[in-house]
Amino acid sequence: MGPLLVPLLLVMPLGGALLARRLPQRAVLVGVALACLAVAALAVAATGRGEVLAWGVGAAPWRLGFALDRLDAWLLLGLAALHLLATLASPGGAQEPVVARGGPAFLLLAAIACLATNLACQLGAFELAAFGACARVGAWPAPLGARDVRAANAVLALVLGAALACIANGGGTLEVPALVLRAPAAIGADAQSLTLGAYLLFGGLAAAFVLLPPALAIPAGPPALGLAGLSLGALAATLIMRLFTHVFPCFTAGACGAAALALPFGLATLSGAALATLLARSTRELVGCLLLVLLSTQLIAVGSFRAGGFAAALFFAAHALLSGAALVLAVAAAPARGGRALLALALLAACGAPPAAGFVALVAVLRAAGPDALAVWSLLGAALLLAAAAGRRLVAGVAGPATAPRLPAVLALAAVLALGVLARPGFEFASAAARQLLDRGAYARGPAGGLGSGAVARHTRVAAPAAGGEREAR
Amino acid sequence: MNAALALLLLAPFGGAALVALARVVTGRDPARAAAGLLLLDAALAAGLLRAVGDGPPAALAFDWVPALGLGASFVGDRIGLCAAFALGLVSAASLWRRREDPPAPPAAAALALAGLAQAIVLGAELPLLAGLAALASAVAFALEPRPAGGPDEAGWVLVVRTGGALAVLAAALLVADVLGGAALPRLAAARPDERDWPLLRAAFALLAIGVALLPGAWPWSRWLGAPRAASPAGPLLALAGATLLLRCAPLVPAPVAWASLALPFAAPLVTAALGRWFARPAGRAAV
Repeated sequence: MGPLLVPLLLVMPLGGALLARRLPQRAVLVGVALACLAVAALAVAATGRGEVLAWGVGAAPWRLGFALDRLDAWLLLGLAALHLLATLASPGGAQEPVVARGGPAFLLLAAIACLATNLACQLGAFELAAFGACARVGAWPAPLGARDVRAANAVLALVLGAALACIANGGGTLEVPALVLRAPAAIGADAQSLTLGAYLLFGGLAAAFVLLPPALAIPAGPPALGLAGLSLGALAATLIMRLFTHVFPCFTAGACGAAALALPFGLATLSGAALATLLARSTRELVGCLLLVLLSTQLIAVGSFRAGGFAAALFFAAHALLSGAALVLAVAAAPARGGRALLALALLAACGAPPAAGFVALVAVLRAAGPDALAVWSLLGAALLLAAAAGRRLVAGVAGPATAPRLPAVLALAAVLALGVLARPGFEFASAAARQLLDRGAYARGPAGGLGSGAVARHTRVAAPAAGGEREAR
Repeated sequence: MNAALALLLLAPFGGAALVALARVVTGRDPARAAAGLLLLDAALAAGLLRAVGDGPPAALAFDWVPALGLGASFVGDRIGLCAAFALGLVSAASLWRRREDPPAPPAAAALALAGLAQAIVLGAELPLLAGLAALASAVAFALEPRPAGGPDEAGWVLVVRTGGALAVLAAALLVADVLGGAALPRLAAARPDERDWPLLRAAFALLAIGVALLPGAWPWSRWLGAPRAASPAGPLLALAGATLLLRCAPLVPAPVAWASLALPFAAPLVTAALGRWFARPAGRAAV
């Protein structure tokens, strides 16, 4: 049953998109989102036992392999929940501003977004994941009509594509199991290309961070746009974790190469986002800055490059996804009756008030700071103060008609609260996922390693053979 | 006794939910009923205090996230129960005598703040207490009067109180790192050589700063007008902060601990005096 979950995740969104042309659009999209959530929950349960779900099609050298580990399953669950909330928040039909402009294109767009999200979580299909992420970045705001945001997203997609091309050039493959096997040798052979790819990835991430507040400030933008930005940030942090644990294992002896950039990058974006809350001109921009504070904090936890930091980052990712979604949806629903109270609660949850998950996530990040504790604690403290100051402006500045129903915001808040109350199993799963991520040998020994060997065999026919990688593969 | 302690902790929150529901259904804020509930809560604290006597204190403990040293434990000892009794009385009195002009804040928020302050004085895990302090800061924001057209003082008080809660959180994590745990019994059991560690002194200093900021002593101008100073949040959080400092007193020598107890009360008084001093020229100009 386990390995079958992987193709299910790929097929469901596309099937939903096809069905939505003939059946009621909203019902089909909500159904697909619920099905994705159920499959993700099953994947979490299956990978919780330590199993890596692997599934492949074809034979070497044309074999296409997929695999799902704890990290993927954890992120997949969060993203599936986010996708469900985004679907529920969209009014659907002709009321949807995107549909009004782009007609049925929204269906395809929604399907691509869901598919890309699912694909990006697939360990073995890194190439497809990269394609999905780029397509998603480039396509999502396209029907909204803001030309500068569209152009900037196209540039961002190009930067991400260039980063992945460099990694493919340096490592000889983009399939993660194969990269695990080949990376030690590849780093010696073509370190510049790999390092350039990593730096470009950070560049793309910086551009995505800068773009998020203006993209959210588009007047006609649906709440789903903010949720798309959130999921992109979570995916980027996961990509960085994968890249540096599997491709640049040198970080275990201390920060090295591009890995050393993660912590300063996180601290810089955190400071920038916190200061930007003072300059935000609209409520939507303010929300964008607060989302950036959440995403940057996650990167800070990644920047420690220890198991504790990774566990904190994964738990924080879940908190950031759910409480960020609650914030975006509560702002959209705030002008309705009782909306301000909902927004205040969402702000409290996002800032880490107990018993919501944010408090546990915040403590985990602060405790994982290690030798950089002084910088992390002081900057994070200052950012939270500015966030509190921004929060009071946010609640006071609510105006205009409600653009989303209250139900999705209430559901998101309930999920944040549930994750906080059930923080023990959640954090244990995140810790196990972090340990699994750091155990490179397990990928080579397990079913994903089998996929990786196939990929190595395929790529060694094309690229120059790497002696170290082959030795490790044997 | 443990069930009574749980009832003492949960009653204000349950009451807040009921009062909020009543406000939605009837359109009126049952402040007197809320005050009555708080009086009952204070009576329960007094009864529990009598029952505890010289015996072992009532205790409740839940493991939340053991890997991070996060737990939710509460101890009904004499200090905590005395403080809970006082908090209940002060909150009840402020609700009973509250003014309706300018419009009063919702009674549910006052009940929730009283419950949070009681949880702070009865809590036994420093990180959780910091989180509760942050939550209390946010709830206190709802209680701060915001006169139309006046400066946004309530917003600044929220920021100052959040800073205080963050300082308490930093102190808690520092203590947890140094001693290997941040439960109050662990603090009380610290060895004499442990108490001399500079990091523990720094943690206590952070705690004292945080507790001094919690009553919302700044900005100074908010202490000048009687209607604007009517919020009970300042005194409640000052009392809760002083109790917290008293519980952490084993970390530092006794004279330092006693001197620090004055901080949460002295900080608003000093800032009030300074506020009046700085406001004098403006007052003369107005005259």
